Amino acid sequence: MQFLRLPRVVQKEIFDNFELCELLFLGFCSRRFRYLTRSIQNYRFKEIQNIKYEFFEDDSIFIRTGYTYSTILFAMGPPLEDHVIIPMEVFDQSQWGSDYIYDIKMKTLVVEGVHEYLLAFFGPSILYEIESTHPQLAPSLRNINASYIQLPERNRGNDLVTAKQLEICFNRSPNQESIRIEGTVHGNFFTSSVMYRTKYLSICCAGNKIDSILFSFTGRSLCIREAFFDTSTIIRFLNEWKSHNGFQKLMFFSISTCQENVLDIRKLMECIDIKRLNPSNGIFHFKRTYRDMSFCEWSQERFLSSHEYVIRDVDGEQAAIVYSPSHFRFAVFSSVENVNAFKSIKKMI
Amino acid sequence: MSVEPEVPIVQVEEVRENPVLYKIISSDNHVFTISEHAVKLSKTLWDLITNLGLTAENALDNPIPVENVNGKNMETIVQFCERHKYDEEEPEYTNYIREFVLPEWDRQLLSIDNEELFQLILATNYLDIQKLMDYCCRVIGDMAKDKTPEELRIIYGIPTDAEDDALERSASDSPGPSG
Repeated sequence: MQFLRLPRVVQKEIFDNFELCELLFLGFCSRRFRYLTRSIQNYRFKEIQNIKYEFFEDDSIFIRTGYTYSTILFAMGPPLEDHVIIPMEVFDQSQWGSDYIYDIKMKTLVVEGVHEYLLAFFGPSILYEIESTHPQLAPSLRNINASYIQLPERNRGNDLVTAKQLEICFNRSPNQESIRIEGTVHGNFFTSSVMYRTKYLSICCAGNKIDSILFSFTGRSLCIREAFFDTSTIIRFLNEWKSHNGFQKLMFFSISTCQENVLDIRKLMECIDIKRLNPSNGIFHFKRTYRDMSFCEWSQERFLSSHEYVIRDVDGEQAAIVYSPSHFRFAVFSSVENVNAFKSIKKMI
Repeated sequence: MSVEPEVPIVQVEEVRENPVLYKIISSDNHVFTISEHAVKLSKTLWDLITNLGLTAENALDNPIPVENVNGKNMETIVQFCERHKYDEEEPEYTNYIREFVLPEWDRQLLSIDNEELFQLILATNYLDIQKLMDYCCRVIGDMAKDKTPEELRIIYGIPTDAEDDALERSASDSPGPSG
């Protein structure tokens, strides 16, 4: 059968019988066939908004798409003992559809190859994400927009990931929109880390001093967990924000620690002009977006309410703050979000 | 219209319910009769019948020549249309994927070699029979299941990258119309 000689309308009808993962597999036949698949089925491909690479501890790799990532494009795993990988030497289909086997010694090469293949199909403008729970860091891939990395724990026979290794992991995608890191990194983060340029950074800081992270961060939202910090760091942060010496883009900052009585509230109140809203005038409520890795969109959640706030001296911008001896939260707010509270502040000013 | 058939008329299925019959002549002069309900499955043929103004009275005296379809394919097509003439209309596809089960009778009918299927699908496309097109495409799609890229290249006649490159080189090396 000369498939390529069939009328285009017939080729389209045939391709309509294939699942997305099957179309991707057909693309392995030849470059020309891949172009044909892509051009005829473009109306399906262009609906793809996101692709997520999941790296699991057992060396399986899932590549998914869809609103809830329910559509599997590639499900890759190491071969069974008696299986020899022949067709592409490092990569083979184990079952029609989306199931493949790969040589784990060539993991980086395979993942890079598949990623480049998908980039060629779907283009660079969709959202590419990485989620890794594998003890080794995921291969560094270009054009990644978001990463969620669960670092290995030392007590499970793995070495801690070093700050340098983590930096290398982001080498090829230094301008990500969101990075979330769980677990402990060995050594201090680099002062010039690419992570500080991300819009949304959520990081676990056990063992790391937070000053270099906080004062180097240039994005919109920063969450630091299990941090070692002291009152002077928070005072310096608030002073810099109030005097417009930094954090111009910052909309949300949260820091928490497992230790007790880290934040000296009396000292904080002495050093910073903290305003208080009369409870009868309402309370600040905030919706702040954060990246939920279970869904392809930026989810929203209301998670902050407060009566206290600070004002930026230069332009009167306001930010609500919430604090306790073990945590501190800061959220710049808009008049639209908190109409009553905003009116009340205006009257006071 | 007077065409002398070289082979006897093929009566694919006796039609009791509907007395209106049409005659179709294939490219190799085989003559087929087909019922009105069945012929309606082909948009091309039904448009032709409507435009020619064929009626129950004059239909059999005016056979319709179909020059793009040979007798073998026409026989399959007439069998298919007679089999499915009373099927309920298919709902519009809401999904990209064609969601239907290919009936066993049709799978048997379409169990033909690759080249025959290729010709049948061209005929189906020409006669615009959507259901048969869906079924043929499903059969062609099913051929890909559990195959390696190498096997798929053979089944679908897809040249390798090297063959495509060689073809492109030879095309660019050959002198153009002016040279």
